[in-house]
Amino acid sequence: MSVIFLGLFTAFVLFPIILALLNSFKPIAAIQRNFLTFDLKTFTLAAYDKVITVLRFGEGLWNNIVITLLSTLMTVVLGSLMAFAISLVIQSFFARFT
Amino acid sequence: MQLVPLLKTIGLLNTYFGTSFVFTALSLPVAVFLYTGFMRTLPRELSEAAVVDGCGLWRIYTSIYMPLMKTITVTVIILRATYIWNDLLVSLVTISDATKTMLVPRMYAFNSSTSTRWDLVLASSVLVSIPVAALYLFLQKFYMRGLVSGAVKE
Repeated sequence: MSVIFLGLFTAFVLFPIILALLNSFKPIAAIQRNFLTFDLKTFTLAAYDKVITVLRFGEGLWNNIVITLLSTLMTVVLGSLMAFAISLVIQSFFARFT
Repeated sequence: MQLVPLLKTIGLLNTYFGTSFVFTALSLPVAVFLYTGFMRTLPRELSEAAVVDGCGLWRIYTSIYMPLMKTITVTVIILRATYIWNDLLVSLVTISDATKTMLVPRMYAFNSSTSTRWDLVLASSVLVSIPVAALYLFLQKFYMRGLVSGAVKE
């Protein structure tokens, strides 16, 4: 029973991801015609090509990497130091009663 | 939104640091919550023994706590990096310079009030999600261990 439930849940989670992946290789006309089917004859990488050039993907990726790294680093350093201070305060508070 | 005038006043609007500060401020509560939960599971004797040996607070933090916090740090990194990578609102509000815009606000350009370029939206979604998926696959064995640490008191 749990295996069936797990299988259904996995399919439920994976279905939109697979659908997005398959439709990303189709021209927009084919997507609008029927987004649930995939025909190898309509396979194209034109969307990826256009995204990389029009979106200036490299530039955006660099911005994402810099901002994500900076933010995550500051979060880890400041968060762990704050938690250390809080845990010391909690320890010293409870030490009064033991 | 007061955030934008504040960033403008201190000269951090349209900068990597300004946006990073906002993301850090939004991420800190979750990080502190997870770290505190983990630290409370560590035995008090560890820090007490270090104090007896003459360690100061900084030494206790760097030599005792930090090596023990690897799993929870990986959990915090995955949780926050995923959130920051996929965020639309903060990056849209704090960065208006086209050369410094993040990927998700750029993807938003494919969506207009009259039409949506679904082929471009889906292709860019796949491309944007690849680094996050790779990060998760690479660090997943630490993720669950860190997430449940501190959940139960031993």
